[in-house]
Amino acid sequence: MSLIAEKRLQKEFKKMLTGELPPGIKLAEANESDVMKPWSMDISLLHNNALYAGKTYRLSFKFNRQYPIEPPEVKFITATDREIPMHPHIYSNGVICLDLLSAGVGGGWSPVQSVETVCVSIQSMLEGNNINQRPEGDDQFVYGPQRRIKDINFVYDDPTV
Amino acid sequence: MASADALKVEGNKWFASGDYGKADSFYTQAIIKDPTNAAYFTNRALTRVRMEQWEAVVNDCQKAIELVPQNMKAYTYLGNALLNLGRPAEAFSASHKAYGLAIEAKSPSVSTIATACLAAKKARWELEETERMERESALLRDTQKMYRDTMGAEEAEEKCRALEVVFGKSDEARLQRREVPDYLIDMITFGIMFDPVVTKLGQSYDRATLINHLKRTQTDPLTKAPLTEADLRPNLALKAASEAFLKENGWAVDW
Repeated sequence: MSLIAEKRLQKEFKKMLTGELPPGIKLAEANESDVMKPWSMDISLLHNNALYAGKTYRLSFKFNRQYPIEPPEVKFITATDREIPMHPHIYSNGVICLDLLSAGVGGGWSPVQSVETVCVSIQSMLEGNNINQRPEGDDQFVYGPQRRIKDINFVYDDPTV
Repeated sequence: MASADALKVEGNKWFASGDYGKADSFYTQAIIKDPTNAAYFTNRALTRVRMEQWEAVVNDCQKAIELVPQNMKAYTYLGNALLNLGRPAEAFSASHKAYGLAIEAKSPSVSTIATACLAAKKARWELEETERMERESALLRDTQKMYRDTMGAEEAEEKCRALEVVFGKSDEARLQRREVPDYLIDMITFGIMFDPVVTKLGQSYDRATLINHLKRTQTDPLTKAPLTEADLRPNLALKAASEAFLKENGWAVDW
């Protein structure tokens, strides 16, 4: 019996191959024979936001067996021509502070979300930003003791971003 | 002498360590001591599921159901065994019974049992498809033979070819329709809904997955408004539509 997570990811994968993704969003890497392995998605912006103009950014998606009941672990990663975008909610190690990606009671994740909708949300999070800085305490967070993304309690009440 | 229950505990130990032969023999001893305890039969049935002794599983489950009629485990294993014995219609009714009991008991196995129901449905469809194809190819063969027996060679060959084209077309049409209508698709699994329930918002989901979601957070997946299992209502019309669709399109289970 295959996992619900696996079946669902296969469908998302197939849809990406055959159907079309929203503009500015591309599948960079996924393993067709093992869809549970991490995926990479490339994101670029549609409007001329000076902060991100001409750049493409790469997101990594990690899924656990409870997906989509549980959210995927999503962060920006670096690669050739891919850096971590500047944003007051994105740490320099790629960790994103976004309600949608948070599990648990009060978290913004819902199982009707998908890789595609998460990409769209992150894309619009960048679109709407014009502050060229990292979150407060970035150094401490990035170079301090390592924690798993899921153990971090972000604060989502910043109405300015 | 060990009590029946002590023998069962011993059986459980062997089961946990993966020695199913030993587990089976301890459960058997427990049953000899006390043939009225359904749990001994279901434990032995599961052991025999692991050993793939399907006939024996069926016997144990039937016995357990005689002792405890609303026996979810027994119906679950029974469905599994019947499916492996190539009896998908009976497998479906056993798994479906288990599904109902699992919902009632709020059992964590609901999703697994729902999957078993669908597997049985698909197997039943495959069996029907095979039978249908055999019937049709027999029909084609017989008709062609009739032509060849009653007509001149040239005319008969022409008619036979025409007939093959017609039969071929009907197969093509059947294969092309492999798409599940959107209204049967669950927004969480992206698969076909088997037991749709409707939320206050009017959106339908498959019961098993939505229950899983509600265990994590009691909110509507779309609106985040409070939502509990008690708020859900079965969507009978959609369920009938799903059943009708699956009856003709068993492949959709794996889609």
